[in-house]
Amino acid sequence: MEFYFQNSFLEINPIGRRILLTIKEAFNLVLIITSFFLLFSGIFWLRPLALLIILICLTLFLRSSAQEDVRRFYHHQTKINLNDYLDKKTRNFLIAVLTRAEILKPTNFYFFLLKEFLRKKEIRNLFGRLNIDFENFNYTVDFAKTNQDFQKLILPILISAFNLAKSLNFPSINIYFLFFGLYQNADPELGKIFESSDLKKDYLLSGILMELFRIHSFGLRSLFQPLAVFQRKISDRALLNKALTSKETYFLNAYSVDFTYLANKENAGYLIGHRQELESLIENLRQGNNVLLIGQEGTGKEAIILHLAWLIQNESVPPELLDFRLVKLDLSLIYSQNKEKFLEIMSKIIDDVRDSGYIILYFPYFEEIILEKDVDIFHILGEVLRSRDIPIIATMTPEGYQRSLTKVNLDSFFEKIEIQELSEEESIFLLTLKSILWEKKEKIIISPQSVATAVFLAKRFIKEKPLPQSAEDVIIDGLSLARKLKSKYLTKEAVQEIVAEKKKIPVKEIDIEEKEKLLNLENLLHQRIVNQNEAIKEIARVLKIYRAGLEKKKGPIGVFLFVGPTGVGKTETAKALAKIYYGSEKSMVRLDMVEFQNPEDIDKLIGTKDGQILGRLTEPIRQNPYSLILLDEFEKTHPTILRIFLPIFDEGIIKDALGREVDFTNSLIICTSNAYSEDVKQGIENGLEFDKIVDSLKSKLSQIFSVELLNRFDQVIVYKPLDEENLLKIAEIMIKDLQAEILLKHGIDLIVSSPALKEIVRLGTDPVYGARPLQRKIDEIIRSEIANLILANKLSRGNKIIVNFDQNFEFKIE
Amino acid sequence: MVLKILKVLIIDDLKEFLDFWFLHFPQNWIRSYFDQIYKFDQVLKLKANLRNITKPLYGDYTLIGYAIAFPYRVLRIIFASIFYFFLGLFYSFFLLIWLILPIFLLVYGILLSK
Repeated sequence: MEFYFQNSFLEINPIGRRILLTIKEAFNLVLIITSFFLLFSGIFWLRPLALLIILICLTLFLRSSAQEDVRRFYHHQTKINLNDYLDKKTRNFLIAVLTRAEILKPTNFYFFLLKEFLRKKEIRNLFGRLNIDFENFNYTVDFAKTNQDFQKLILPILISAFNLAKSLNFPSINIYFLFFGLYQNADPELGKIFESSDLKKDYLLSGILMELFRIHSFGLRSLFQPLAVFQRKISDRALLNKALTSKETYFLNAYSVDFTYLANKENAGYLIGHRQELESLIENLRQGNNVLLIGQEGTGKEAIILHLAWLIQNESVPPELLDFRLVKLDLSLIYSQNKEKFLEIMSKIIDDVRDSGYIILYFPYFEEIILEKDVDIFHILGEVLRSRDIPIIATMTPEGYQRSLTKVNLDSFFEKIEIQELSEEESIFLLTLKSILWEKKEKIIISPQSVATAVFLAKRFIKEKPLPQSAEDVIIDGLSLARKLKSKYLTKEAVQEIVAEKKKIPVKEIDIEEKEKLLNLENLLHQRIVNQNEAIKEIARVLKIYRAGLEKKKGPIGVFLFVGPTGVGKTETAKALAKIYYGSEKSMVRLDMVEFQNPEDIDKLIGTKDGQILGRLTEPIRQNPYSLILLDEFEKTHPTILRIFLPIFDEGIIKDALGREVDFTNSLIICTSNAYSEDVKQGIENGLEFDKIVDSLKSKLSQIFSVELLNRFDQVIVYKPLDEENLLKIAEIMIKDLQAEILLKHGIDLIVSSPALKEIVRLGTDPVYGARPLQRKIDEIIRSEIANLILANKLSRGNKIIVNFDQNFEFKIE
Repeated sequence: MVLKILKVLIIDDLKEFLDFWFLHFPQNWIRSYFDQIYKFDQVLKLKANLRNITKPLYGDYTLIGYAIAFPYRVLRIIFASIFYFFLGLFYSFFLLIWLILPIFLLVYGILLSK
């Protein structure tokens, strides 16, 4: 197959071409005027010929499409003139641009083309949608009068444009596709301009699609109307199937919605993605199986079923399913409205369906009726499901399925199909189409970047709902924010703002404040943690990499094992990090692993199948994936439970007891252990080098933890025992916190003298517990005394209290 | 050069007109006929009746049910076939006029001139 570009005009030299173009316009005008004149003249025999000329001119004038249809292009064609596939407007634009280029001879043809494109309203609108300020493009078009074959340079651009039109199933190459061709084939200099303005291929493609759908948005509305709208609109119902082979179902119709009827009447049933699930559903129904679709709310279970109805209506299903009606029966709704007579109604419905034949029943939220205490739905449905004489599709959430299993063995009645959430690409496509409708309604232009960002962030951080629902919620919130701010555009930044606000996570691109915080992270941690340089350095390094977007592909942000004696600052490091980096200690999920010493304690960690107990590890992370997880005394965990952590540390993903995926890839995991901490102490006392102590400790850890688990830690960091000087520093930090607290709450200035501080350290240091008793000692000696003085009205706002030590602690008020 | 100018001014446009009038429009017109049949068949159900020609109506599997259903379905098939035939006739008639129109104008003009 050979592409070429040939147009009769381009065979003439450019100056002659310009003249001819003008002559042609004048010629056509003269021809039409003359023809009209002849039509009404007295020369009778010329009238038919004049009419013919008018017919030809009008046809050519009104015809805007290409000479050939891209959709009817076949691969066996060997030579393809791309001129025939250009729509009239684009063809005229191209001829004019090439003519100008051949006369002016620009040095950089691609810059010249860009400049010409930017004169076009369509491309300017496209840039507006993409939120790109083309006025700031830094380029100049020079004219060096060098000879270049511009018609040859345009060919690859046209080929790309043709391929895009073909892949999008568009009839002709339009100006947008031609611009895409330029983007694809830009020389390195123009490529740099596009790159610096953040014009990415995906955004450009979505932007083009949105512009095209904005112009031709016919039919889109009904595709995405919620079903409820159709159900309200339609009062009459089909009583029979299409082939009239079934019986009338008056009783069923009073309680149901006929999806096949809806598909026919309202052209509903558009489906994006879920092809495999749909095929599996059809195959199972064909084989006579009942099908249970299991998927989170918003994954598109009903969209699949409605699409099946559409396929049945259009006779695009296997012969076994032709002529069937697909009828929705909301059992829990019927039950809530008719509690007393529910079983009676159900029994009549089943009789009606069985009698009629050719009906597939669809039960949404099937778990609700199964879990209803006062009704045994299987009393009626059990036999129907077993005999398989009525094809049944039921839907459930994974939680509902697990809970239902405690009551009935669903697997013996149904073939299960798990419905996955849409992929990011499919979600972007779906939301791009929906955006056109929202745009028209809200009069706010939605940029493709905002759609892509909403999907990207929703996939990673909003776990309560699956895609595309989670991203759709973000865009809708973004639209109401834009409305409030009276903005004409919904931008990527607004979407980031919404998700950051919703989930309290730093999804925005790093701003100056955060940059400073990240660069200073080590210093800030040093202000709270004493003598643990290595741990601080490692954590700061990992967080910087993560926020710069350079993190490793799989697994959590970081997984650390802090080993060392009690009271040296392991837990304190995690707390400080949660406060400094995550904003508050509340962003820390802390689990004392002493509580997980038995295999059955796994329920506490990931929840129970009936949903009665929610996982203490999985649930908080499901709700807020951007968290710090502290697993204290990790070595005390039962080995069976330790195995749960292998996929978490490795892939960053596990399923909870209800089968829901929990994503740890935005979490930082810190495990602490004081195993073999005595060896560290002894080693230091014996004057061994710290590196050697660390090596020996690491090898001993394999006696507690499996090698595969140890290998999954990013770093095993050994905390050093604290000496007197370190403890003094820690005491100073604690006193500083107390000073700040008292000043803030009571306006009292606290000063602790050096001898007093030393005495507190002496009293508060324990060889076993390290610095841990220090805080208690400070509370005992200073905090409680200040409390007594405030209650006795001896100390009030504006006072200064000095704590000194000489034999005893003395409190002097100034 | 004169040929090139003639080609640009007249021949290309003429070729485009002929392509559209005698090739692309008839193709699309025929396609639209089948699209219409597809839409009408949602109501007239020629295909469904052909597929179920031996099946009774309304699930009535008695001898009478079969006896009524067969002529009913045959009648509907005949009716739908006749409808599609006439629809086809209308489409063909329009297409014929469409194809003849420019030729007629040309020939009629030439004949009148003599």
